[in-house]
Amino acid sequence: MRVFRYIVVYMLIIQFTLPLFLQLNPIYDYRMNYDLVKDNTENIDFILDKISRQIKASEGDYVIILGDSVGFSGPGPSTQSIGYFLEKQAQEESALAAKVYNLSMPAMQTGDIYTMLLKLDEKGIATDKLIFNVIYAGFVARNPDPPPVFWLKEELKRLDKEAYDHIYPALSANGYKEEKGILAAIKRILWDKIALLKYKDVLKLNTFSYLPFINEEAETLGDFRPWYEKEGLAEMLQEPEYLNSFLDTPFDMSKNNPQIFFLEKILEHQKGKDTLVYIGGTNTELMPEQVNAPGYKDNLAQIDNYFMEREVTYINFQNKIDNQYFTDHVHLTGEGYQKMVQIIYAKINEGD
Amino acid sequence: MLFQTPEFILFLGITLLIYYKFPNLRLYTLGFANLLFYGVVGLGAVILFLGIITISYLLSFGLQGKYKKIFIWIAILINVANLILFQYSILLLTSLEQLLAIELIIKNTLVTHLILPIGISFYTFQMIAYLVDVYQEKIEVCKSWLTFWVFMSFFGQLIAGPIMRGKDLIPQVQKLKTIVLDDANLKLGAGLFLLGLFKKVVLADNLAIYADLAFQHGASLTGPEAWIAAFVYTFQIYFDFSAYSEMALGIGYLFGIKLAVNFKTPYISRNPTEFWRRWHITLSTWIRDYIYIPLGGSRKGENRQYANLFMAMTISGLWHGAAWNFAIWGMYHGALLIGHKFYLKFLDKTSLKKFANNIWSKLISIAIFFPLVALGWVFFRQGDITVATQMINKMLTTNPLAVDSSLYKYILLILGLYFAHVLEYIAIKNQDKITQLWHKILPAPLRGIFYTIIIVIIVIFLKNETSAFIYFQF
Repeated sequence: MRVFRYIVVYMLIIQFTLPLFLQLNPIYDYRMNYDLVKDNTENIDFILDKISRQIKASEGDYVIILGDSVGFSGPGPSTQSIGYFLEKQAQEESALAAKVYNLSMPAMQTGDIYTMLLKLDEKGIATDKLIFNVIYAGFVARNPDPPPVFWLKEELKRLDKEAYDHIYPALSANGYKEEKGILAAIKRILWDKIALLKYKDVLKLNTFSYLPFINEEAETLGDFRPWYEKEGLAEMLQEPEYLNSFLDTPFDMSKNNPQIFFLEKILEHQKGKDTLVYIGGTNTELMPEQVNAPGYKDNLAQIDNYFMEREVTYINFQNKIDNQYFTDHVHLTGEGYQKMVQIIYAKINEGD
Repeated sequence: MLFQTPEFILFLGITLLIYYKFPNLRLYTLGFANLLFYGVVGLGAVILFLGIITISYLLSFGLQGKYKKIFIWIAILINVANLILFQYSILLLTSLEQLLAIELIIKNTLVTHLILPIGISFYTFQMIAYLVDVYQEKIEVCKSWLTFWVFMSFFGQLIAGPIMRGKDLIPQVQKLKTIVLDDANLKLGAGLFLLGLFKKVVLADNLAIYADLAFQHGASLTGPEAWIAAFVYTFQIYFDFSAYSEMALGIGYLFGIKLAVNFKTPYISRNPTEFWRRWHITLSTWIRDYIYIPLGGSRKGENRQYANLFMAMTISGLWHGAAWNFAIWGMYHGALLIGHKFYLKFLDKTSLKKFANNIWSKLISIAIFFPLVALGWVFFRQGDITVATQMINKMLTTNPLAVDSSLYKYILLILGLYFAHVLEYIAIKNQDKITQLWHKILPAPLRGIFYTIIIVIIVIFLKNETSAFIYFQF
C-alpha cells in the first residue's frame, strides 16, 4: 500500500506545480494553436494566463488581435500571419507596440470576439490597442447557421448571462444544447480543478516539443498556394454553402441581427480605446458575380457607414489587395497578409 | 459513464470507500451504485432493465417445479424478444422488405424510434445462462431480488462483459459481507485497471485514427494498404475490448470479486479452435454451452457437428450487431473452425501429425492463422459488404513484393504491435516471477514514480470527446 501513498504525493506535486513548468511556445506561436483550441476551447485560458504573466513581467506596450480565419491568417503557417508581420514591423521600426498577441480563431463570430474581450478583462489583459476583423458573411441573415457564438458559448453564459439569454434561441436553432445535470456539473468541476486534466493538451504539446523523434510540421489549415494554382476551387465556390456568404439581400443593421447586437457590445466595451476594425476583401476574379452585384455593393456600403460613424479606425480591404495574393475567395497568401499588415500599419501611424 | 472518464474514477473511488467502510451495507451499496451507473444511460433503459430483471427473477422460481418447461420457455422468450425488439427489429424488417419488395417500416413509428439499450446483448446472454442453469438444476434459484440485481447489474461488467455465470458470481455476491480489504486484490485490481486504461486510451484510441481513415476509403485502398488497415484494426479491436475486460476484472478485484478472464493474448493462436479459447472467452463458452451443445454438438455425427458449428458461429456473429456483415464474420469463423476439423482429420491420416507440436510448425501455424483472423475483421469493421469484398479481393491478389515504401512505417508499427502482444503473453505467463522481481528491484518511491508517469501518459492521451468502447454497441 506504500506505493499508493507515493502516487498520491506525486499527484499532489503535479497538481500544484504543473502550470509553472508549461511553456507558452508550443501552444502559441504568433497565434493560438488551432487544433489545441478547436478540440478544447478551455485551453484558451492557459494561453491567456501565460500572456497575462508575460505582459505583467515586461510592462511593455502591446496590441491584441481578434478575429476569424482571416485574422488567424489561414491557411498558411504562423510565420506568414498578420500577428507575425505586425510584430516584426513594429519591432523593426520600434514606433508601435513591441508585442502583438493574435487571439483569432477560424470561424470566430462577433459573439466569440465579444466573449474574448470579457475573458481578457477577467485575465487582466487590457484591450487599449485592439485590432479585430469582421466579414461580409457575418452580416448576412443566418438560416440558422452559423451560430452567432461559435466557440465560446459556455464562456459567454458565464461572463454575460444577459447576452447569452438574448442569443440563446439562435444558438439552440443551431443544435446547441446546454449541458445540465449533476453529472455534467461534476464533470466540469473535475476538468476545471484537477491540473493534470485541465492542462493535459498543453502538457502533451509541451512534452512532444521536447521529443526529438516527433518532428511536427508547421501548423497550417490546408493548401496555401495561390488560388489560381488550385484545381477545382472555382467550381467548389459555386456551392450554396459558399454562395450564401455573399447573399445580396439588404442587411438588417438593427440589433435584431446578432452581428449588430454583438458589434454594439464590442464597441461599447472599446469606448475610449484605440480600436481598429477591418473587413477583408473578396477575390474579384473568383467571385465576380457576387462582388459586382448591386445589392452586395450596397450592403458593403452599409457596413462602411456603420463603422465610419463609430469611434474606431476602419479599413475596408475590398480591392485593396491584388487578386494574385489570394489563396481562395477570401484568404490570403503570406505575401497577401504582409501587404495587409502594411496597410494596417500605415493606417495606425496615420491615426497617431 | 465510461471507465476512462474522470467522473467514473470518482464514482469508483466513492463507491469503494462506502463499500469497505460499511461491510454490512455492501449489497445495498453495490445495488445502488449499479443503479446509478446504469441510470446515466437514461430512464427508459433503466426501467426496461429493471423490468426484465424482475420478470426473469419471478419466473426463475418456477424453473425447478412441475411446470419448469413452460417457465423456461416463457423466460427465454421474454429475454430474446427484448433483444430482438431493440437490436434486430430494423434489420429483420429491412431484410424482409428487400426480400418481399414491400414497405414494412413506416417512418416515425415506434420501431424507427427505438434506441438500443446499452449492454443489452451482454445482460440478455447472462440472464439466459442463469435461467438455463437454474432449469438444469446446475444452480439454486437466487431467492433475494437484491442479490439477483447485483449479480445481473454489477457495474464492473454490465456494459461489455465478461458474461458471468450464476455459479461463479452469485455465491460471491451472497458473501459480500465477508470480503476483507486485501492488499493483493487492491494492487491487482488497480494494476489491471491501469493496464486497461493504457490499452484503451493510448493504444486503441490512437490506432482507431488510422483504422477509421483507412476503412472510410476502403474501396480505393490498394492490396497492401487494405492489409495494413486490416492489421491495424485487428490490434485496435483487441486493445479496445481487452482493455474493457481488464478494467472490468480490475474493478472486480477492487471489490474483492473475481470475474472471468475474457482474453488470453488471442493473436498467438495457431488455429481457430485455440483462437476461440483465447478471444472473448465468456462469449465463446456461452455459445458452446447454450447453443452448440443443445443443437447436438458433436454427438450426432460429423456432418451435423459441422452444421452446428457453422450455425453457432453465425449466431455469435449476429450477436455482435444487427447487420449482415457481422453474420458473415461469424460464418467466416464457422468455416475456419470446420476447415480446422478437416485439417486435423487430414493430419490424423498422414504421418505429419508428429510435426504438429514442433516449434517451427507452431510458428508457421501462427504466421498463417494470424492473417486469416485479420482478414475476418474486414467483414466485421466494414459495414458495406461490397466494399469489404473488394478489400478482401485486393488483399488476396496482392503481390507482397510490390509494397510501396511509404507503407514501411505502418508495417513497422504492426510488427511492433505484434511484438508487444508476444511480450504481453510472456508477461502473463511469468506474472508471479515478474511481480517479485519488480518489487525486488524497484523500491516503493520509484514504483510510485513509474505508475505516476503511466497515469500522466494516460491523461495526456485522453480524448476531449470521449470515445466509447467498440463492444458497447453490441
